[in-house]
Amino acid sequence: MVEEYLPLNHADFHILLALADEERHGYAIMLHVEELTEGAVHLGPGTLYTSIKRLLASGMITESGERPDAELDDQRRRYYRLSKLGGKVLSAETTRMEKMLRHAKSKRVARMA
Amino acid sequence: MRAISGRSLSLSLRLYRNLLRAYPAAFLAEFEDLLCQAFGDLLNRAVRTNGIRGLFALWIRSVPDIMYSALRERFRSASDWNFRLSWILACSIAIPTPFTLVFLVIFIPYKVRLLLNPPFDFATFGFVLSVSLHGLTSGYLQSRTFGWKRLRRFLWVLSTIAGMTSAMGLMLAFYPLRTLIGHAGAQILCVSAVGIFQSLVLARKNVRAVAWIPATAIGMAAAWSMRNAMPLLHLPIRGDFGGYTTFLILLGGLFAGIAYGVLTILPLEWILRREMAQDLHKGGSKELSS
Repeated sequence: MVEEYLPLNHADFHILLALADEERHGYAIMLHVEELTEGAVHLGPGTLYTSIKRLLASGMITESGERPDAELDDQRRRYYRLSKLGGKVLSAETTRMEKMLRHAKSKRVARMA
Repeated sequence: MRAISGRSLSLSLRLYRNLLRAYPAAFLAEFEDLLCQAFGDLLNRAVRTNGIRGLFALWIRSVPDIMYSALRERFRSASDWNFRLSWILACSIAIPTPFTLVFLVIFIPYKVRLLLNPPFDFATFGFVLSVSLHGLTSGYLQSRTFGWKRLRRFLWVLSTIAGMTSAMGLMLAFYPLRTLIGHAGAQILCVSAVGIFQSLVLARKNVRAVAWIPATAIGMAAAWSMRNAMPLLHLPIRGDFGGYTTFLILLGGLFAGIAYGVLTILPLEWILRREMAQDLHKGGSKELSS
C-alpha cells in the first residue's frame, strides 16, 4: 500500500522529513529544508503549499489543532504534523534511497567526479 | 548594503498577492493568506540579511516558483477542470442540437413538399424557432454547469433566450450595417445583446460581469467565422436536403459550440472567480459546522 506513493518527489520528501521530528508551520518547514540541505534547496511558498495540499489530501500529513501561545507565535499560522501513513511512506522512501545509495557505492560513482 | 523602505516591502507583498491570481480559485480560497504570510516572512528575512540584493534574489526565485506551481495546480485542480469541461460540453451540445432538430422537423418536410402552400414564411418561422430553441438549450445546459440556485439558473435561461432573439432581431433590422462595418463587425455588435442580458444575471455585486459582453460577442462571432471558414461545412447546393446536409449542420454546430465554449471559458472563470471561492469557503465552513 505504501509503495503506491513511491518514489516521492523532491518537495514532498523534504516536507515529510521536516515534520518527522516535530510539528511545524509552513515558514518553519522552508527554513528547516534550507538548513538541512545547507542552502542547496529553497522551497518557495508556491511549491510548499501545493505540496502540503496534496499531502493533506492523501493523508500523509494532518493539520495540528494545537496553536502556540499568541505571545510566542502568530496565531494565524497553521501547524502540520506527520501522520502514521506519512511516517510509513517516509520510512519506505528512505529505505529505497538507501538501496540506491548502496548500488551507487558498489559502482563507485563518487570516484567518477 | 542599501536600506529598503517599508513602502518597497509593502509593494512587493502587494505584487506577490496579485501574482497569486495565477492559482485556481479553489486553491487560493484555502491557501492565499498562508502563501502571503510565508512570502512576507521570507521577504523580511531576505531584506534584513542581504538588503536589496536579498530582495532581488527572492523575486528571482519566487516568480518561477509561482509560475511552475500554479501551472501544476491548475492541471491538477479537478473541480476547475470539471467546470471547464462541463461548460465546453454544454456549449458543444447546445448549439448543434436545436439547429439540427429544427432542420429535421421543419425544413425536410417542407422541402420534400409534404407541406404544401404553407400560410406563412416557413423559412423565417424555422429560423426564429431555431434561435429561440438555441437560446433555451444553451441557457439550460449552461446554467447546469454553474451550481447556482434554481431562480438564478432560470434567469440565466430567460436571459439567454432574450439575448439570442434580440441578437437575431438586431441582425435582421440592421442588415445594412454590414456594408458599413463589415460582416464580423455587425455580428459582434448584434451578438453582444446576448452578453448584455446574461451579464445582468452574472452581475451579483460583481463589476467584472461587464467583461462578459465583449467576451461572448467575440466568442460567438469567432466561433461562427471559424465554422464558416471550413470548406467541408459549406452547405451543398440548394435543394439538397438529405442525411449528408443534416450531418454537416450537426458537425458545423458542434464545431462552433466547442469553439465558443473554449473561447469563453477563461473570461467566464475570471468573472466568477471570487464567487466560486466564496462558495468553496461556505461549503468548507458548512462541513466543519456539521
